[in-house]
Amino acid sequence: MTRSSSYLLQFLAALRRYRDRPSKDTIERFINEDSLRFIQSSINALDKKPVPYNVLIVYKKIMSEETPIRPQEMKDGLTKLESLVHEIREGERVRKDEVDTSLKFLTSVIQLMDSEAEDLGKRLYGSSANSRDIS
Amino acid sequence: MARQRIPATSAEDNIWTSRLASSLQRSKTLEGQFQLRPILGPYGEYYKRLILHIIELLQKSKYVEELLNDPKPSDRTWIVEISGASAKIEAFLNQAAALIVHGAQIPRDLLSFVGNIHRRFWDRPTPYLLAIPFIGGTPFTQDYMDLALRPNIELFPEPRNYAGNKDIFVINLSSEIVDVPANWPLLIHETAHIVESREFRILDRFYSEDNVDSDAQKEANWALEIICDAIATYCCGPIFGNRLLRKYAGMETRQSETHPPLRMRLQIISELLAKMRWTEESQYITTQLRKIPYGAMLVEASRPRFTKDILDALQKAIESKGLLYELLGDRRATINQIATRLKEFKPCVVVGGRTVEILDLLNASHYADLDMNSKPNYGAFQSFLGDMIRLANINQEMHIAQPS
Repeated sequence: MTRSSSYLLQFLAALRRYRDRPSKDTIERFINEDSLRFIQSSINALDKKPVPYNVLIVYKKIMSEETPIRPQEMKDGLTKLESLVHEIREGERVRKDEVDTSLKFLTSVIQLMDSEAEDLGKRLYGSSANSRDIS
Repeated sequence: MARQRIPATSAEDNIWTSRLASSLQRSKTLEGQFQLRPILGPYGEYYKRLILHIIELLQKSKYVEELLNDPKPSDRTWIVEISGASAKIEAFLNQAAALIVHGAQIPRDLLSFVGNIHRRFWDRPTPYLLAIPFIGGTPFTQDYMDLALRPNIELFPEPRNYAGNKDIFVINLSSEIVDVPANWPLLIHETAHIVESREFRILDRFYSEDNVDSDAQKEANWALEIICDAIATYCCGPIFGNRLLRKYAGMETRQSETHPPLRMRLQIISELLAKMRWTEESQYITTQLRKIPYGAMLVEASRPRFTKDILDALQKAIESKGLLYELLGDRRATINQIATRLKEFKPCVVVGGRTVEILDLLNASHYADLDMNSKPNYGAFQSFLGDMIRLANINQEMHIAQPS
């Protein structure tokens, strides 16, 4: 479990509560600038634009189509999520089915992000101490 | 007739709330361990207070309370959320607890050595801990707050807000480094990682955080390692390069994404030493490199594009802090005298009528180590060297406490 799944869980927690009781405060309680930046960087990564390496590497498998979710599908889900959250933060009313769609998307990808993160950990820190690079 | 199953409505009734409650319970056990066991090092108490406060905030978290008191086992989103919350708490507790175990066997002499080097670089050091997570392997430094702790509390509003501006690094060591004081100077590079990321920030001047591919990231990674080698060399002289050569030459098997080839690193170190007037020492490294068969080291790769500019910028920054350790006056003679005394197991607190400076002692230790390596009393020599390093540290601390 690393940061990518943490950020997505923040969105899940916020939207699940918003679905039950629509209030901008619910969103502000869980989502911060870091999690919004992560979503923006993720969309950029899937668009093959420059992003921090720790974001780029999270999407490496998705982009090489080695996972059940297609890069375009992932990008569409994240783009919808981002605009939904922005609309709520700006005080606009959003449709319940849009919230449900984003929640469904988050539910399906959070586990995937965790397995990606596990690979990322191995790549960055090595699977065993002896295989590490010289410091 | 089978009884109809009643949907779960309380913490006792479903596996998800039970799991979260059990994670909270485990946090209480860990709290007890943190209160009972000391965490060694100058920032041990800081780390302890940090973890205990995060644990307290997790236990009192309104968010966790909501998850426990409003179970919705028929809602898939609730299951994913509460499972994620439990897993995050467990991961946080594992990371927090790891340092109780991994930090327990650090010798006090080593703590004092790293503290001395760290203070030398910076007046207001960033919190750090030492840990021994493995027996063999190379040391490495982690931004522990950013990589290990914060990712696991990001979901919980109260701990996240508290930890927002907290910092702690961990320098991970293997026992093969810890047990051989002659290799402690390798840790100067690790300390340099902390100083570069919080103080000098030379890398940021030349490389953007954003990259489009792994090649660009590899170049930035290599540049960072060259910066840390250079900090160690500029500030401490030949000792870092000498130990790097001694310990790791010929051990590489593949080109790394994170570290430049050892030949490149040592060639750069040799060039820096020549600029700092350590000409013999620079020549020694170059000569030793030539002796290593090419097959035993990786084929030369190109240096990162900005290497020269980076090294110049770093030299200026280090000079402005008065930290450049050049070969001046009779320093080489002093180092030779200390090396001779070390080999003879003679105290090196005062040599030639002057109190020994720890950097001179470290640089001398390499030459003594080379000679003593094949002797039957090598173990005793390492122990003696550890004592001398400790005494030099004590002397320096007393000097700071009572300036002349």
